[in-house]
Amino acid sequence: MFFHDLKYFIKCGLRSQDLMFWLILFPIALGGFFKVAFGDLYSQITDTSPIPVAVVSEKENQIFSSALESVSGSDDSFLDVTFTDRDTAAGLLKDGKVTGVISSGDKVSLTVAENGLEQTMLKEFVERFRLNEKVISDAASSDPTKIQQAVSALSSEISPVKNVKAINGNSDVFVQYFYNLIAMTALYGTMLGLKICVENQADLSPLGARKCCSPVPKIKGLSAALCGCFILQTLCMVICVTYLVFILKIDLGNRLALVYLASIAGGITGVAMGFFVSSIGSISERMKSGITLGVVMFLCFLSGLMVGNMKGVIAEKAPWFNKINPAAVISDCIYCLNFYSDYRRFITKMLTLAAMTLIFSALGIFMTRRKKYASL
Amino acid sequence: MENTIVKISNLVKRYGDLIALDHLDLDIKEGEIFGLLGPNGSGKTTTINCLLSLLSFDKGSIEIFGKEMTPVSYDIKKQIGVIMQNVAVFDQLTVYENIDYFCGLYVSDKQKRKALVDEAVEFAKLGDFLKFYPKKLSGGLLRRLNIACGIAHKPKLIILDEPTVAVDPQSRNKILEGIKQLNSSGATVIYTSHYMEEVEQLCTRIAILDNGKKIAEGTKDELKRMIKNTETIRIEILGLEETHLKEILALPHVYNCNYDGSVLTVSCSGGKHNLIRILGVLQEHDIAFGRVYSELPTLNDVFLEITGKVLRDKGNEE
Amino acid sequence: MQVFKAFLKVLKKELPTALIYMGVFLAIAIGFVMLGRDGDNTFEQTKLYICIFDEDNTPQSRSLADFIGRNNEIVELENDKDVIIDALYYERVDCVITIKKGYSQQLADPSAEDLIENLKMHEGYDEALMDMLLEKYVSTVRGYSAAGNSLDQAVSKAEAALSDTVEVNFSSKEKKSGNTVINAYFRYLAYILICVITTTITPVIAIMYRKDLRFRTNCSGIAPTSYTNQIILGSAGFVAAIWLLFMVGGAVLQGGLYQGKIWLAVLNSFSYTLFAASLAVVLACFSLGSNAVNLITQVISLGMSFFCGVFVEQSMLSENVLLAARFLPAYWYVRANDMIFSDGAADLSEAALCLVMQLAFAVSLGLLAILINRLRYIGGLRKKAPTA
Repeated sequence: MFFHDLKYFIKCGLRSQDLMFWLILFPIALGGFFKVAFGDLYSQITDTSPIPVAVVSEKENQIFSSALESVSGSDDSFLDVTFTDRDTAAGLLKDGKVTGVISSGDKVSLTVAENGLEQTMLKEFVERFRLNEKVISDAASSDPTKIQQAVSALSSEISPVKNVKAINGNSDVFVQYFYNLIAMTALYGTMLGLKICVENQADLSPLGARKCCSPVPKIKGLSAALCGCFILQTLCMVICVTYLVFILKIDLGNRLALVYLASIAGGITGVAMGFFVSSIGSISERMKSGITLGVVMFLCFLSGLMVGNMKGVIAEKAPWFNKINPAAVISDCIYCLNFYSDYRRFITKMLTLAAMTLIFSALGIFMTRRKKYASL
Repeated sequence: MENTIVKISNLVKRYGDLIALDHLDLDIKEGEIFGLLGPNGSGKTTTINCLLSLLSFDKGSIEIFGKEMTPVSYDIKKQIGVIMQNVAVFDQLTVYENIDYFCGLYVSDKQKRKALVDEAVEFAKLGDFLKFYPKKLSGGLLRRLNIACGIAHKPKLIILDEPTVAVDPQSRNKILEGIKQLNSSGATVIYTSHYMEEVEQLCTRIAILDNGKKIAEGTKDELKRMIKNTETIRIEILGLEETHLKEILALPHVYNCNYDGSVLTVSCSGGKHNLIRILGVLQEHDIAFGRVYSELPTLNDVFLEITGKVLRDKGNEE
Repeated sequence: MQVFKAFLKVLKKELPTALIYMGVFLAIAIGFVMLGRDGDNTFEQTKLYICIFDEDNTPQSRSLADFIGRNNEIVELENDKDVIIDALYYERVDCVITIKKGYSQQLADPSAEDLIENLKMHEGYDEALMDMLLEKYVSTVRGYSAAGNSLDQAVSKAEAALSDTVEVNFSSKEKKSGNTVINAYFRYLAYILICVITTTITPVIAIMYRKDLRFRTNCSGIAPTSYTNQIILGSAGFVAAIWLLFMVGGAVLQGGLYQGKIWLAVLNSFSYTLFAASLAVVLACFSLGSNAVNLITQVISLGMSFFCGVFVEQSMLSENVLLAARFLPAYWYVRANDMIFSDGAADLSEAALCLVMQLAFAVSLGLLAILINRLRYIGGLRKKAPTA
C-alpha cells in the first residue's frame, strides 16, 4: 500500500509541469542570471592592478623619483606612472584616465577628482613619502649622526604586518548568492509540501475528499506522500547543484559530496516546512500557495538572496534569527563546507535542519490526520 | 427482514445559524437502491459527507454495517465506494493509472487488483481511452472514469452523489444501467439526485429531503399513495365557459380544475370513472374537444404536492 | 462602458497581488533609507571597518589602536572564530587586526616581523590600504627610534607627524549629490514595474479575450473596436495609477517634491512603464495559466535586471554582457537613469536616445501583439471547434 501510494505520488509529481518548472527551470534560469551578473564582479573588486597616476615634475626631486620607481614599473606594482606636464595631467584627470595627479616640487602634492579608495591609496602613498621626509629632517635636526640609521629603518623591507587569509576556500563574496540560490530551490520544496496537503485534505480538493474516504490510514498516506516529496525534491536539488557546479562552474568548495548532501537535506526541510505551513488553517489552495511562497521569499531575502550582506546585517541585529531561518541554515551549511576544515559547524547546521524537518513533519501530520471538517 | 446497512439517527448539522440537516433519520437496508431526492441546498450532499465522516456534525449518530462510523473506521471504509459530485481524479495520471491508483488504496494484492481494474474498465466502457489523460476526456467519459475509480474495488455499499450532472443522455443511460448491474450483483446503493426520472427509474426506496428535513420516505408507490392526486386528466378544448368549469369541479373525486384557453386540466383523487364523467359533461353541452390524456401521478407530482416547490435541474449544490 | 466596468471588476480580483508586490518593494526601499548604508558603493568608502584585538595591551599598543580608530570605523566583535569569519565574509568588517603579545618590545626593532596580524578575507584595495596604514605607522615609529629617540618619544613624535595629513586637492569642486537612495529606487523600478504590471494586467486581459467570452461579445451589439478601446482604457488607467503610486512613493522616500533633473528620471520611468505595459499585452496574447505568467514574468524581469545592471551596476558588468544587454529595454532605462543621476550635467541628447529606444521596444511589442491576435483570429476560425 505504501509503495503503491509512493509510486503514484512520484508519477504525478513528475508530470506536474508547472511544479517542475518552478523547481527545476526557475533555479536554472536564476543561476544563469547570477552567473552573468556576478561572474566578473569579485575579480573586479579584488583587482589590484596598478593605479594610473600622472606625475608632474615641477622641480627635480631625486628622492621622490626613486620612491616612485620603487613602486612602479611592473605589472603587479602599485602605481602606473605617466610623466607629463600640468595641463595634460589635468586633462587626463578630467577624462578619468588617471586617478590622481602627483606634482613633485618642493612639496609633493596630490590632486584627485573624486573621493574613493584608489584616491585614498594615492594619498597614503604621498603621505608616507612626506612622513619619511619629515622623520629624516627631524633626525637631521636632532642628531645628524643617526640619519643613516633612520633612513635604513624607514626603508626596511621587513613588514611588521603578518597577513593571514581568514579561510582557505573560495572567498568570493558573490558565491554566497549561489548558496542562497540553493537555499531558495530547497525551500521551493514547500510547493511540494502544499501538494500533499491539497491532495489529502477533504476541504481543499475533491481528491482529498476521495482519499479521506479510502481505508488507508491517514498517517500511512501522508508518510507515503512525504517520502514521495522528499524523493522528488532530492532530484530537483541534485539537478540544481549539478548545474551550478558542472555547467556554470561555480566553485562550491572541494567537498562536493557533502554539498549535495546538505542541499538534499535542505530540500527535505523545505518540503516539511511547506507541509506544515499549508496544513495550518482552512483557506483555499490559492491563498495557501500565496502565503507559503511569500514566506519562502521573505526568508530568502533575510538570508541574502536579493541583497548579499543581509545575513551580516541580521547577524548584527538579531543573530538568533540566522540560526532558525531555514534559508540561512541551508546556505550556511554550504558556506561552512567551503570555509571550515573541521565539521563542527557543519554538523550543527545539519542537525538543525534535521530537527526542523522532524518538527515540521510531525506538526503537519498532527494537524492533518484524523480530521473531520466543519465545512467542505 | 433485511439487514440495515446504514443507520442515521437524529443527525443535526449547522453552518453557523443555518441548519443544514435537521434531526434526520434514515435507515438503508441491504440490497436497496436508496434514492435521496431533494432540490438544490436541501442537504443531500451534506448527508453524504457526514455519512462518510468527512464533515463534523453537531448531534446524532451514524452507523454503517452496524458499527459507528468515524474517520478511522478503516474496516468500514474498505467496503464503501464513493462517487462524489465533483470529479476527483489526478490530471497527471492516465485513465488506467487513475483507476489502478484508487483501487490500490483498497486492494493491495497486485494480481487481484489488475483483474478488478480491468473489470472496472470494462464496466465503464473506457477500454478505448486507457492511455488518455483526464483533460482529454469529454464530460461523459470523465464521469464514467470518476465512477470507475469509485467502484473498482467491488464495494458492498456504493454512494453516488449526483453522478450524472452535466452528462449527455447516452452516457447517463449507461451510468444508470451500470448502477442497476452493480446492485444486482449484491451492492447496496445510495443515490442522490435532483433528476426525478432517474430516481423513479432506478431506486427501490426514496427519501425526499427539503431544508435538511426528511419530508417523505418510502417506495415509489408508497410515496404516490401519500398524495391526494391519483389521476390528472387533460383535454384540448376551445371556448370553454366558466359555468362548465364549475360543473366539472362539482363532479365526484375532482378536486381541482383549470382552464388556460386551450387545455383543460382536471385533478382527481380516487374514484374509477373520472374520465367518462368529465367527457359526459362535455357531451352534454355539446362541446367539441381534441386530444385527451389521462396520466397517473409521477414523483414530480409527489414532490410538488409535498414541498409546494418546483424541482429544477439547474446549478450545483453549495 | 459596460466592458470597462467588467474589466475593472476582474481587475479587482488580481489587485491583491499587485499591492503585495508594491508593499514589499516600498517597505524594502524605506528599510534602505533607514539603514542609511548603501552596500553598492564600496568605492566611495575611504574609511574601513576594522576590528582590533589587542593582545599586548600596553600603552604602545593602545596608541596604535587609537591611531587606527582615528581614520577608520572600529567594530566590536566577539573573539570567536565563527563570528569573525562571518563578519569578514558578510563585510561587516574589512580586516581584523590582532596586535600580538610583545608588540611594544619589538616595536623599535627594525628587523622584527609579524608584530601585528591582519586577518582578511579578500585581496583587494581595502585590505592593502590597511597594510599600508600599519606599515606607515610602524616604520615612522622605527624611524624616530633609530634617530635616537626613546620608544615613548618615538611613538609620540610619530603620532604628531602622522596627524599632519596631506591636503588633497580636488580638481572639481562638485560634490556628489546626496540622492543615491532615490537613484537606486528608480533603478529598481525596472524590476518591480514589470512584476506588478504583468502579473496583474496579463491575466485580466487574457480573461477579457478568452474565446468563449470573446465570441459572446462578438455576437452582441458592441463593436469590436469599442470593446478593444475600453480594455485599452482600463489597462492604461491601471498602469498609469501604478506608475503614479511609485512616483509618489519615490517622492515620499526622498522627502519632498522632485527637483531639477530628477524629473527626467520620472519621464524615463514613464517610458519604461509603457514598455512594461506592452509586454503585459503580448504575454496576454498567449492565454497562459497564472502560474506560467508568473514564471515568465519572473524570468523576464529578473533576467533583464541582472543583465542590464539593475541589481548590479552597469559599470561592474562585463563588456560582453553589456553588449548583449543593448537588445533589452532595461539596459536603456538604466543607462538613462545612471546618466541622469551622475555628477556631471546630464547629456540630454544621449538620455533622449535612451528614451526613444525604450519607446521603440514598446511600439514593436505593441505591433507584435496586434500581429499575434490577427494570426490567431484567422487561425482560430479555421480550426475545428474542439469538442467539450
